Amino acid sequence: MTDPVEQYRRLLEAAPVGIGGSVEILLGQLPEQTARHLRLAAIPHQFNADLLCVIDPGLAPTEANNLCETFAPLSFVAAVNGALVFHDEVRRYLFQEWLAAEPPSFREVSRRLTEHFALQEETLTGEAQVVARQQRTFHLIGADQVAGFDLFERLCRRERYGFRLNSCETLIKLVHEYDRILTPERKKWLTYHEAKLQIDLRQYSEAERLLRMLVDRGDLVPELRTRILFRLGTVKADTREWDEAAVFFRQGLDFVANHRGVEGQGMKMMLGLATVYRETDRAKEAGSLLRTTIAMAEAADDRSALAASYNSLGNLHRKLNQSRRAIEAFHNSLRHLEQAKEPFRPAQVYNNIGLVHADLAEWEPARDALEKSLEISRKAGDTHGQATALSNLARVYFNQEEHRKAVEAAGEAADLFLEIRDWYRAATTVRGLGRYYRRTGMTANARAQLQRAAHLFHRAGAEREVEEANAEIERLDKKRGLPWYAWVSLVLFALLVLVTIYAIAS
Amino acid sequence: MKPAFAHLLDEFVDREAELARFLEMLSAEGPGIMVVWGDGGVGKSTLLSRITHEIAQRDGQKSEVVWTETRNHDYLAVMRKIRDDVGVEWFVPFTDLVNYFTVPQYKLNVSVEGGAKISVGQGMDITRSQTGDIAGVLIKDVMLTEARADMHISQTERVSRLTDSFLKCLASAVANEPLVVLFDAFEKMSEETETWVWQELLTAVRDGRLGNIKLVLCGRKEPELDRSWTFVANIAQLRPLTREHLVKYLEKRGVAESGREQLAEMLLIVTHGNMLELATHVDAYLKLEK
Repeated sequence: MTDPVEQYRRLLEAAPVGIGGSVEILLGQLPEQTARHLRLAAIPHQFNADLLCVIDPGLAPTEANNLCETFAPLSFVAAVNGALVFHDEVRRYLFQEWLAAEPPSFREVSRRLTEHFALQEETLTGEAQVVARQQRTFHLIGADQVAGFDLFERLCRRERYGFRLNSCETLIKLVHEYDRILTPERKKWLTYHEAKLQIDLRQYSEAERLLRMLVDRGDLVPELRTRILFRLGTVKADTREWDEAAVFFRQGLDFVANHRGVEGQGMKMMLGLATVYRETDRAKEAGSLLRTTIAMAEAADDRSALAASYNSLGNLHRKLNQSRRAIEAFHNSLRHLEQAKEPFRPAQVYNNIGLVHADLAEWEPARDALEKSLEISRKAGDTHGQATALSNLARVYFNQEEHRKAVEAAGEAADLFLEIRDWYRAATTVRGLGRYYRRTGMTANARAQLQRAAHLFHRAGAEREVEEANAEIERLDKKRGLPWYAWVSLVLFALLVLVTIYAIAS
Repeated sequence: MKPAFAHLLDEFVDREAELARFLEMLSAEGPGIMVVWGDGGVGKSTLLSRITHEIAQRDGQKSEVVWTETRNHDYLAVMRKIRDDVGVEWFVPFTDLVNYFTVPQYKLNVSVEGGAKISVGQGMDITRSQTGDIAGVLIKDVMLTEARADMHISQTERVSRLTDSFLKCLASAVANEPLVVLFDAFEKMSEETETWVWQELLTAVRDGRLGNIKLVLCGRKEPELDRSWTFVANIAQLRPLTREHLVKYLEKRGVAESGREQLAEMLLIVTHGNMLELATHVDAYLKLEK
């Protein structure tokens, strides 16, 4: 009889390097059917006797239980939450082996698991339902990549809109397990979704890295390329790097002009570019672009695009202090939104109307519009919209002498901006609160809020605003002299006294 | 079926230093935090199973939260798990608040005429009912994860209020009985959850607001800690097994003495001391030997 160590040495020599080697040798020592089931058990992330019966409907419950008892003592098996789990490294190896061969049986098992988790999703609630939904998506990709990836994209979008980024992150991780068999096209779309998640997380540098990695490739389908260029433009606009944002929007426009099937993206690029022009004091170019988008949208009878264009035009007029024209443009936008039956977008337009009225110190109509905006944003679950409306309402409440309400609104707005990691807007809201405290003589509160604003501006990368906030803090500490009108009054009084004395003396 | 990780207990070798550090933390007064990190398969789960065993030996209470590919616990799931492990009876205000934030609120109108039957909505229990009284309605935590659509409250505010309530309940629950909280595979936490764990839960432990709690975090990545943590957190990096420990391990696994040294030599070359690979090879070898 051969020495077992010597036998094992021979097995080691023939086995692959790494964890796969040890697993393959072990599988070779198991009865054929047991080894087959161990490989099958690595398709789901965890298993129990019931799930083994789903994977292999030919298994009797007692056989499935016996298999679980055989697998449980293995060193790479653990029991977590009442199920058996292979160690990550082992499961990854076995799962990749399935993907490498991708036999029909893998697709068949994936299909059965998809059905199983779909049923669970219908019957479970809460966290368990979320997990079942993620598992259904995961296995659907194994059963039918087209349908699975489509479901992933829909779920990912839904989770992003609901700001459930944790769930979105899990979905992306799960899809990455199929990297080996994903078509090159889907891999690119997956990276694009990852970049969008990073934008939501306000991780702009990572988002930019991913988007640039994609855009540098020459083999993108036109739709993906235009979307990436648009996202790169918005990343740059969000970080207030206007010149670079303009470059991406222009590249996008050039691309759209030369490719079919992506015309719809052209309008978005123009609106993005118009925003850049507006923010960089190039009103003429901004106006010209917006007139073009309005003409294009009218020709296409695209109410939604008309509403967006008029809203942007209103913002431009506001920037040029043409308040009445701004209000007129915003009302035009509202009219088109109503025709397009868009229930939530009016929130943004009402907010802008409120801002114009506030500029004119027309506090009542400003308050009315901003409160409408807040109400719609709340119905829509739009955190950014709520924060913006509250931040602007705080200014109105201050001017209407409703101080407690104003402080509450500003505090809530700052919290909401922080929640969506919009450090810049959180900082401007907090700075507004600091200035209010300064005006009302509450210097300690003013200093605390301005310091917080400086910290948030720093986090947003807005160093000029950090300096400004620090300068405001310094001015708080300086003793303030008499205002200019007091000095003028004093001089006039002194002259009057001198004239009187001179008159008496003469 | 044997309990989780039970097979790992008999085979525990090396890691005596890390185990001793844990036991020292366990017996010390006040809070404690230990972070165990190392490459995949190096033996973190084995150490964790030994730690779990030591807690059980002392009749201690523990709560274990494991992150897996499909269980990406967020802050709320972490609190719910700890609550369920410690005992829901300690966390009534917290559960009420969770329900308030996640369960659609119902107005229950009961009209009883003659011998009419009262039906109770799904997910509700009638409790503490007395003849002549209207029953109180207790809605259990149905583990919903999405915030109520009709509630106008920011996520930041919700997290803050839930965390405050949870920490107060937890402080009461552990006032007389210490608790060890074990986090495994913390590298799988999302960034948001990791921020919450460090800034809320661990900060509360560090600052002594949860005096009777010890926390053990196991994961693959080295935690990036600032100075405020270096004096509080006990960091242990697990390294691959040495030859001496490997021979001891083979002995504990029942490998015949005659082949032990030779097998150890061979496996050390192939696995570089990676515990997971070693253990799997030994599983295979023992089957071959049989």
